[in-house]
This record gives sequence, C-alpha cells and structure tokens, in this order.
Amino acid sequence: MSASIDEPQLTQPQKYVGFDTITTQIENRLLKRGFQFNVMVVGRSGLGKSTLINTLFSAGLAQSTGRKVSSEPIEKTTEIKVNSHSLIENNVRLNINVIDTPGFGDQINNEKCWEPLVKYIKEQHSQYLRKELTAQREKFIPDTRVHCILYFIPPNGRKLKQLDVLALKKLSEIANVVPIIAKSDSLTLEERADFKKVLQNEFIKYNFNIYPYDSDDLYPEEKQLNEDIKSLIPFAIAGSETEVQINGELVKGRKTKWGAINVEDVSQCEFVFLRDFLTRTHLQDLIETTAVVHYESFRSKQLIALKENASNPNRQSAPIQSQVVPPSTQPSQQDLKTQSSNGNLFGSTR
Amino acid sequence: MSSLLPETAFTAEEIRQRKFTKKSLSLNLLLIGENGIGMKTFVNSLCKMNYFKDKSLDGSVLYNIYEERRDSSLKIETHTIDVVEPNTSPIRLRVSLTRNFAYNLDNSNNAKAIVDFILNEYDLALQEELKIKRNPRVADNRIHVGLYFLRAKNRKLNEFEIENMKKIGERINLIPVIGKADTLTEGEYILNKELISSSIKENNIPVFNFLEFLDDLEVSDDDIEEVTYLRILQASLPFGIIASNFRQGENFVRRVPWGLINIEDENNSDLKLLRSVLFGSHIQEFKDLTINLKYEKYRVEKLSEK
Repeated sequence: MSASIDEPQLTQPQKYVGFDTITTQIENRLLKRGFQFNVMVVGRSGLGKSTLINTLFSAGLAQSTGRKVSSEPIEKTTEIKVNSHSLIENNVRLNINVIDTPGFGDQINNEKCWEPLVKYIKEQHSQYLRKELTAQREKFIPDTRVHCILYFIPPNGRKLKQLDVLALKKLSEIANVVPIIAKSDSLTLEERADFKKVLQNEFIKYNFNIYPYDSDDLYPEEKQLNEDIKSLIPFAIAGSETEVQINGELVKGRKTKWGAINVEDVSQCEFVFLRDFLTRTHLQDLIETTAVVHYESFRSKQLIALKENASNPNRQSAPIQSQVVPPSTQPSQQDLKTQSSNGNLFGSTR
Repeated sequence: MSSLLPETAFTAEEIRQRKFTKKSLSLNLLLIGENGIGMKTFVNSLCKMNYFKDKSLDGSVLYNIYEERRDSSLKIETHTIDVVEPNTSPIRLRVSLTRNFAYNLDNSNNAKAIVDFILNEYDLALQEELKIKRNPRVADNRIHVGLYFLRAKNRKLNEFEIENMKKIGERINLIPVIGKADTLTEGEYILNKELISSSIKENNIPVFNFLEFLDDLEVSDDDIEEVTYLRILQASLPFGIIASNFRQGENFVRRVPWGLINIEDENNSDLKLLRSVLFGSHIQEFKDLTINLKYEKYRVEKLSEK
C-alpha cells in the first residue's frame, strides 16, 4: 500500500470530456498485440491431459490420438515439450503455449521427476529477468513464464501418493497450480464428493499454496467468487474431443454402452466450471499473478543475490547465458539450490 | 427294511459329492493393483456380498487430517471368505490383496516383495513335503491364480507394469485385468485390450494362456463347445472389470448420472466370465498348474541349490 496521501476529491467534470474512452484505447492496443497464455499440464500418462486441453480451447492444440497407437519409446525421464498455437475469437488473439510433461510419474522410480518442471519454470523467469535488465531491451518482452499448471490427480478415491504430495508442494511454490481430478467419470457422484473432501483435507494438511490466492485488493464479488472456486477445487473433470448425440443434440461427450456423458453438463462433470474459471473469469488474473507474485519473488531473490555478489567480489559468477538451456536427459542435481546460494544471477539453472 | 439310518440319510453318491466339494472347492487368489483401482469392490462383486464394507457410503470415513502418514511400504493382506450362493457348492476363497502397490516414489522393490510373498508359501509347502512326519491336514496357502489390475490408459504397458508382470507371471498363473472399465467407451475398451495384449506379446510376458494345453487335450467333437469357450476366454484377455458395492435389488449396479450399469451383464464387462473361470471351469486347473508347474519349478530350483 502506498504511503498515506489524502485521497484526491472525486470531481465530476461539468461537461463530458471523453477520457473514459481510454479503456477502449487500451483495448485496441492490446488487441493488436494479442495476449499470451502459457499453461503446463502435469500428470502421469493416460489421464487425459491432452484431451482436456483440446476440449478447453475447443481446438486441436495437443496431440492426443496419435500417441495411443504409436510405438513411442518409453520415456526414461520427464521431458518438456512446448506446443505453440494462436487462437482468435472476436478479433481477440490468444497465443497459447501448451507445455506438456511426458514421462512424469511413469517410471519405476519417480524420485525427483518434477525437477525438469521446476527447472523449466525457473528458466522462464530467469530469461524474462535477463531481458528486463538489459540496457537496450525489447519493447515488449515475450512472456514465456508459466501462468498456470493443471495438475492431474488420478481418480483413486484415496489420499495423495507421495509423488503428488512432493510435486504439488514444489510446484505450488513457484507457479499457479490448479489441481484436477482426471477421468472423474469413473467415480459416482458420492465417490467424487468424498474424494474431494479427502483431497481438500490433504491440501490443508500439506499446506499447499493452491490458486486462487487471497488478496486485499479484490472486490467483495471477486472474493466471493474465489471462495466458491476454492470449495470446488479440485475440479472433477471429463474431457472429450468428439461429439455424441444426447437427447437429439450433438454435444461434446463420451458415449459408453450404458449412457453418454455430456461433458458440458455441470450435473455430470465440472468441465464447464474449469473452463469458465480458466478462460472467462481468471485468465487475466492468472497472467497477472504470475508476474506480480511468482516472478517478483524470483526477481527479488535474484537481485538480492546480485547485490551480495557485487559487494563480495571474491565470489565467482557464472557466464551469462543468453539462451534457454534445453533440459538435459538427467535432471541436474543443482537445480533446487536457490540461485542466491552460489551467487549466480544468470544461468545457474544448469 | 427297517433302517438304522434316519429317513433323511443321503445316498453314498451324495455323501461322496459332499465330501468332494468340501475338500476341493477352495481357491487362493492374489490381487495385485494400485490403491483405489477397485480390488476390494471386485471381491465384493465376485462373491456377491459386501465383505469389504464401503465406508464412504455411510459417511463415516473422513480422514483425520492430522493422521500421520502411516507406513507406506507395500503390504499384502489376506482374507478368507466363504462364498455361499443358493444352489451352488460353497467356495472357500482365500484372497490376498496388495496395499500400497506402486505407491511410493521409488517402487523398484515392489516386484520382489510380491514374489517373496508367493515363494514364501511355496517354501512352506516344500518344507512340509520334506518332513518325515507330514501333516495330512496342512492348509495349502500357495497362490493358485493372480489378477494384475491395470488401469485403462489408452497406452501400451509401461516399464513398471512390464517388469512386475514378468516377475510375477513367472511364479504364478497370472491374468491381466482392466480395473474400472466402466469409464471406457466401446472403442476405448477394445483399444485398451489390444494395446495391452500386444504389449504382452512384444515383451514376452508370461501370462496365463487359456489355449496353452489345447493340443494336449484329446478334443472330440463333443468338446467343440469347450474349445470355443477357451478361445473366447483367450480373446477376451485382458478381462475388463466393472464392479460395485452398491446393491439395487438382486444385482450390484453402478449408478452414475448418465446411466445405470448392471455389472453382471456380459455385454458390459467380463466380470461374469471371470467368475465362471475362477469358481467354475478353471478352479481345479489353476491349482493343478500351480502345483505341477509353478511350484514344481521352484522346487527344482530350491533343491538344486542344496
């Protein structure tokens, strides 16, 4: 909060001036530029991550069918795969990066399988910071920072596995995490309600910082909306890229022998709530919170470290890296040391 | 003829049958699968009774959130259930279930733990055999057949599944099943069965083959039915399971907002088929094959060591 200044008196101009059109002016500028949204999907294979992304944005953004029958090699570690797309709706252009994490949780030994993810997230912050601090910097720094992590929990009805506990802990510290119950159509409504309670208790017990976050400068309606969302999380989801006939209508759904689930029916699954949450109410907040909370936290740690480094000239600093380092096949042991501990501002994510 | 026997006495044939069924209708079953994949519900549905109480249905289960995470190592719990149905012989089912399978970060010890469990019973049987004074009434706790519960992922088998199935399938008759098959569309059901079957073939995983000893059988024309049945069984692998704790009238059903699933319906799942295999057609075969092949193999290994 700023230092207390007497709030200026609100005066209504006697005649219409017209500065209220600034919102339209801003909008026009923003429309030209387009918006950037980066979403990471995390969860072991076969939980419907790619299908959900395609259902959310109603477009074939992620390759899901191809992977089913290909003789793809079994991944030995978690990979990071980024798919970029540009969607347009009513003149609004949304550039999306879908960050897939094949191999996560799929090995016999899954220790530290989240490290490539953490590394990737921090690298994006690191890259942005470098560009920000460059003397001749770009007019608009391309934003590759991860705005949202969709974390897929298998519909077991049980407490979280150790892998999920550790991964959720690490990830929710550095990015906005939205947990999801995958393939929730395998649970009856009672089972879903119980599972949610179990998971919500687990989130409290382990003190995860689950998005959305409390904030003082929210309107009461926004606070109420956040409360409602929090009571829903984790969203019980089913996704579908195909349309089926239900009651004469063609809807997105899954048709089994004993009935068809309409993915967009809120009495059957919470896909619509998730979609509205991500795209219609909290899209801007996700992007903003990433910049204002997570990036800021990274930035301040880095700059403090830089100061310490500058005042202690005996410390070595690593050469400045000017490109994103692709994750090596073995997750690096150094990843989780914070940057400040070895004084490297740039590129200590190697 | 005045009789010392009461009027309700059984004929010799009936008495023989009773004794026969008392002795032979037991089965030792091992269920391997992750927590939450539906093994207990499967047992309930298999035996048509709520042996495992579904705590969540009566709302009393919510975890104490401060309950410390108990020991999360792999365990195997064994239960003995007397399956009694009208007009059938009772079956004494000894079912062992894994707990915390594939649960930890590092699950590389899972295969060994399960194999050790199996071999332990083989050991006990072997020791008993080698005794000078043997106990004729000793219980046979060797696992006769195992079910490996897979989740339908629309993918081939992964490293963990392949390794476990190989190691376990070497030691017992192992049948792969797909748990919670009620979420699958028809296409996905077929696709997953195909993917799993081809994975099994590609990796030479030693799972149970219903047609394995077909050539040895002297198959007459009368047995065409039998052969067809076996072919159907083999083609249905892995069995797709839908189970439920919820009873509506006579049947167990699963009630979801968009439909009601009768789990006994063969069009929906292979539960009925699997039950007829476990309790009917193959109950003796699994035991024979365990004793004559799997146990025998272990016996040879063990005795050759000495």
